[in-house]
Amino acid sequence: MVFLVFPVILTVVVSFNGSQFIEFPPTSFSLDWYANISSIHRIGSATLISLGIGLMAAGLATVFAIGAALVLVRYPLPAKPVLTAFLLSPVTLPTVAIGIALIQFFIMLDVAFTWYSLVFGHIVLIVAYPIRTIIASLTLSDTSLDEAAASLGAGRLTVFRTITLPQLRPGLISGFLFAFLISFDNYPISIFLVRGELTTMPIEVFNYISQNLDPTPAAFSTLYIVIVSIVIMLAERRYGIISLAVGK
Amino acid sequence: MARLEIDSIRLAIGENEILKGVSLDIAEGECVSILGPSGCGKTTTLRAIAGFTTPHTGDIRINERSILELPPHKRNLGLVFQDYALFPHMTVTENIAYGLVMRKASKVDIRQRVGQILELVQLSDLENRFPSEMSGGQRQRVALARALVIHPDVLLLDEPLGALDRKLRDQMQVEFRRIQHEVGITTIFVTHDQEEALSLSDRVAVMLDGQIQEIGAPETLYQSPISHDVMTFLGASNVLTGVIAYDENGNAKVECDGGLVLKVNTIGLKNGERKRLGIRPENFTISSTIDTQVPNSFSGKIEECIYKGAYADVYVRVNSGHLINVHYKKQHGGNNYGIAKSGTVVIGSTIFISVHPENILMFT
Repeated sequence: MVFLVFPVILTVVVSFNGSQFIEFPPTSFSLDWYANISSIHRIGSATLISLGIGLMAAGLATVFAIGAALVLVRYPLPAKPVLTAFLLSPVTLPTVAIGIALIQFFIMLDVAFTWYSLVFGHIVLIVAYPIRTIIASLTLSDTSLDEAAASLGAGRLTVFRTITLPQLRPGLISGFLFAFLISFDNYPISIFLVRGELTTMPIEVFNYISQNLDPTPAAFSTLYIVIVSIVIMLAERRYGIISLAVGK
Repeated sequence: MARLEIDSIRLAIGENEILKGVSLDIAEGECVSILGPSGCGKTTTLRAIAGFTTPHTGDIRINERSILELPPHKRNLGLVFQDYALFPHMTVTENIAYGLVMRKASKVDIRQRVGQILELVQLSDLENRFPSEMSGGQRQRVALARALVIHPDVLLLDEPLGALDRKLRDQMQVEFRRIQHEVGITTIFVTHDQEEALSLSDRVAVMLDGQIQEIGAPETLYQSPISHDVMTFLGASNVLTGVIAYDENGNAKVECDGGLVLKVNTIGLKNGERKRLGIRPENFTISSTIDTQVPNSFSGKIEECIYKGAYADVYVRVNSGHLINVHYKKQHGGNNYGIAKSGTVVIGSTIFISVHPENILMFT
């Protein structure tokens, strides 16, 4: 627990420190570093790009994951464990390796350094998370509900739309959220896939850190932590997403 | 309203044959239960009717038309699931209206029919509740209402009262019978609960090991089953084996193993034929003194006595060595054989039991 919490506390405390350097315990109080966030190069546009890429990648990954999870849970398939392991494999691979592989692949296809190749790269990285949560939701959902709907006159698509999908909502939301968060602050894959104007938030923050030693990134991180915590809290309260992500 | 015919359907999963030629003919408005232990194929039969599984051979017809080619959503059947399968994200009204929405009924029509059916199942005041906010009995009613509101040809129920506690189950039995009579719909339900089957249906089909063993009115099936397996499955019975022997007056007796001799009804018995006998515990009479006028009266020692409320299960070891299960009911104003510390029905005491020849069931 200490190891989990300490970096967060340190970041927050340091962001309010008056000192020019990252030091702990703090010596004075100031909000200067928050005012200084805008001095991180292209932070505004980079954050917007990260947001756009993250939303798109998470959205597409979630849609893909619905199909994949349905097939994996509901249909009798040979080699199901192998297929599941394959779809979940990006989690187990070193992200740097995925990054290198992806950029070579994109260069071969001549689409390297475009926003859509970045989206695609992120999908590869994050798709395992919605697959995992949607599989959990599907396993918990009751197939007799689908049968009941069918007996009441609903065709396959209608059953899916009106009965199955609403049951999957917690899995969809948590899967999407985790996918988005992982995409949003991913560094090791993005670093291979961006060039020039196409840049993401974590890359710019990292660039800033490598050139400056002041706590501005800490201030930015604190804001980030606060916003993410609020989003997760709301989602948990509404849909109980944590139990799904952890698995039962 | 419809007639349902199940015509020798067979179904196997891998090597395992689950339905071995099941046939059942259900008349319009009739309520038939399929009774059997778990794994006998009764639920598979129901799922085959509903269209969730397809028999390999045989046919299922409604009003003389085969429904096997139809997908589940085109069969117009009302299904009540064991766990009710209410849609958790919909209110009672939305649950019940679902089938009507699928049939593209008008809003006015939907409102009217949902209102009527809610009245029938007596849930009018709960229309805006979600399933999670209701008791088991209420959910059961919603499930029934949801299935009935679409005016299905046949109503199918899977262990309809299985998830309810005892008292509620008794209430729902009465309720269910009332609704069934009121709606007059052709109904088929599967259950492993004998009491449920006997009390709710016009006819009971006993299913054992993938086949319908016997079908008949509840009384007939219980009092005079044709099949030995049905006799042992339905209710408790004392099972004996013995050989038929005629005495010089032409009266038939069965000489049971262990020396017990029982007088039986003569009809159609061959001398020397080996028979299996069944005697229901409630068909024995207990007496503290021997009555020589009564046939099949013999003495024994009470080994065990289990109080069941309305009656007591008394186990009597008769002289032949058989342990006979006898139901003992306290007679109104009669001799006080009370299940008390003193009296006749006391463990270890000697007692006389008798059974009328008519009440001895015989099987090959």
